Amino acid sequence: MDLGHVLTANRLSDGLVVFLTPTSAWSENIDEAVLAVEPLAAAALEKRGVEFEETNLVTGAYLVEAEREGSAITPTHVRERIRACGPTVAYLGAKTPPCHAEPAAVAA
Amino acid sequence: MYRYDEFDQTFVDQRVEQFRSQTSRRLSGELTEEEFKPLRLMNGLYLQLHGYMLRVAIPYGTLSAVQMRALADISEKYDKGYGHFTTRQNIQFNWPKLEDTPDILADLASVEMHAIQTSGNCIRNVTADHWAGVAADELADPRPVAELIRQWSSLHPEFSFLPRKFKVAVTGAPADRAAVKLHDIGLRMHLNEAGERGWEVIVGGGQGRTPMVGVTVRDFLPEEELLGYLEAIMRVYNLFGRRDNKYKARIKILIHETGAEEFSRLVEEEYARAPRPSVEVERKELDRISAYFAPPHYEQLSAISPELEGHKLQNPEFARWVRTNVGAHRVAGYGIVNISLKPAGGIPGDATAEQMRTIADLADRFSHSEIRVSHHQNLVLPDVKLADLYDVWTVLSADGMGEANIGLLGDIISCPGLDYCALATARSIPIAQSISRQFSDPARLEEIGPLRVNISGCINACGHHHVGHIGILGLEKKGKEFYQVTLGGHSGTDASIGGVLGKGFSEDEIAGAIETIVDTYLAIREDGESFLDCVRRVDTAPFKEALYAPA
Repeated sequence: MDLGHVLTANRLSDGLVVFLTPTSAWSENIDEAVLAVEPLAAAALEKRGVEFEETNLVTGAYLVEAEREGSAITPTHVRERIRACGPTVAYLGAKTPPCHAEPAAVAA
Repeated sequence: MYRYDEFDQTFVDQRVEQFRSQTSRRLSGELTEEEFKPLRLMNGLYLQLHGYMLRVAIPYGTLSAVQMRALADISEKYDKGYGHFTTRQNIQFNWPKLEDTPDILADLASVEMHAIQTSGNCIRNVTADHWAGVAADELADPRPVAELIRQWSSLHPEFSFLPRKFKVAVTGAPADRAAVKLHDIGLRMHLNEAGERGWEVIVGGGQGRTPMVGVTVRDFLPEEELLGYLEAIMRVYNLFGRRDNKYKARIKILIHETGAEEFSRLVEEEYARAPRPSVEVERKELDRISAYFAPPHYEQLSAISPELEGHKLQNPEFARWVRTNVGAHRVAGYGIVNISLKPAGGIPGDATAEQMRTIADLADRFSHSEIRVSHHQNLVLPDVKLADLYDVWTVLSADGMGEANIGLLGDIISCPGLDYCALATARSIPIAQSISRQFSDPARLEEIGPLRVNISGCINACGHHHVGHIGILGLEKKGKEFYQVTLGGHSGTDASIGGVLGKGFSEDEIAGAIETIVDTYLAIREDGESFLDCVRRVDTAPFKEALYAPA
């Protein structure tokens, strides 16, 4: 298991939560994010966030602490887990398959 | 209801075009987020946990069927097919795109709606008794005054940059359904001996992190003096309200810190000093507005409907719904239908596009095309003939809106909480769902009687937990959510703030804790004693003991 930081933001045009990938793209899927394990790498990620905001692709970029287990990346804080996966309650037009297979996992 | 005149329509249309230009400048990068944020907020567009959120104003909670259909269309065209009715009688869309928002606002403007002043430190949407104009106990419809205040406060140059947001609620009835004691200004209508209308002016109520019940500064303000007097209050607040700390900037803190008497003196001094238009001008304007709220044509009906009585005898479920969900109308032979948006296990206040259209159709067929939003996050068909109730109930039930729980334990107020809100510290919807599932048996709900459970996902208290008979506040410690329980809050005429019971509960424990509280109440209640009366009589000790005493 790796503990580190991913860079998240909201996409300017539609507001959706996105994560910076290793190829400098922004993905809605946190598992595709680049995880910076070293503090220096995290600082570099944060700097990239500012650059992306200046080019108006995203807004409100910040670092989120997260763990990588296999191919899955999970933020350590409940707020960021919900932000990454969407509401834990059923709603119309939810992402399929639902990110929160077991809502209890979020509360854990 | 009020209709835009040419001035209103031109203004709102121009505002949409202005925002269209601002949005395109933001998308092209001409405007930075820092520059754009106040502009989008002034048009009700927030950035929430998962994306943008658009809060649309529903003035004093009154909607036409046409407007409801437009909201349904917007939710499908630009969002995910549903909307969330709020405790401020507004509607929120959870997934709009920034690039679509100018078109959404244009669609809203085409049905005389907008999202202006649904954010920011200004006078927000004026709220009212959701039974305004039709309640049996009402002195007069308070909505002309609500509309007068709306027009006066919309883009008021002096009050667009207040220390903090400002909320006004009005009621024309002695039974307070609008929580007037819990707003920055609450107005309650009274009649004097000559039968003339006047307003009790209550100031400094509010919830949030410092809950307070408002204080009355005038018992009977003649109606024609209302705007002048409100202006004096706003001026005193604008001048002396704190701006150094946003958590101490609401008018309730000013009143608390200066003292109600001194605050009142300052207002009276300002009121005596300030030049203002003559009362005749205000009377004329109020008369002009009142014409829009003239009652619809009611048929002369008997107070007893044989059709209704027949259906009630044949169908106990329907009879229960009539008991719990239909309010007393001032006109014989009519009833006020309260539509519960709180199905067991559902999301309080959410309605799908299909449900919105069903309600719009019902309003057209049975209720003079008018709909209300209540601050309890339910909807109201104000003018239904008793003989039509069965048809209305049948249609509502078929669309998941036939729940018989208005004012009962299943009728839970809940903010969006951490599932949607960027400010929340814990989720509130799943808590509401687990409780409403646990208490889904309508017979049991009726046996328990009136009981309001209100849930907020943070101390800002959008879910009105301070005034829940049982209040639940979601908090977070070391990344884990937990829930604090309060007892004895109430938002009615005898408003009170609930007191914290003790140590909080986890998500899994909370429904069980509510069960224990309810069981304790059922065991100790006196004949006909409501939950609130019982808590007021015995205080919290028996409940604490049941919850926390070692087994």
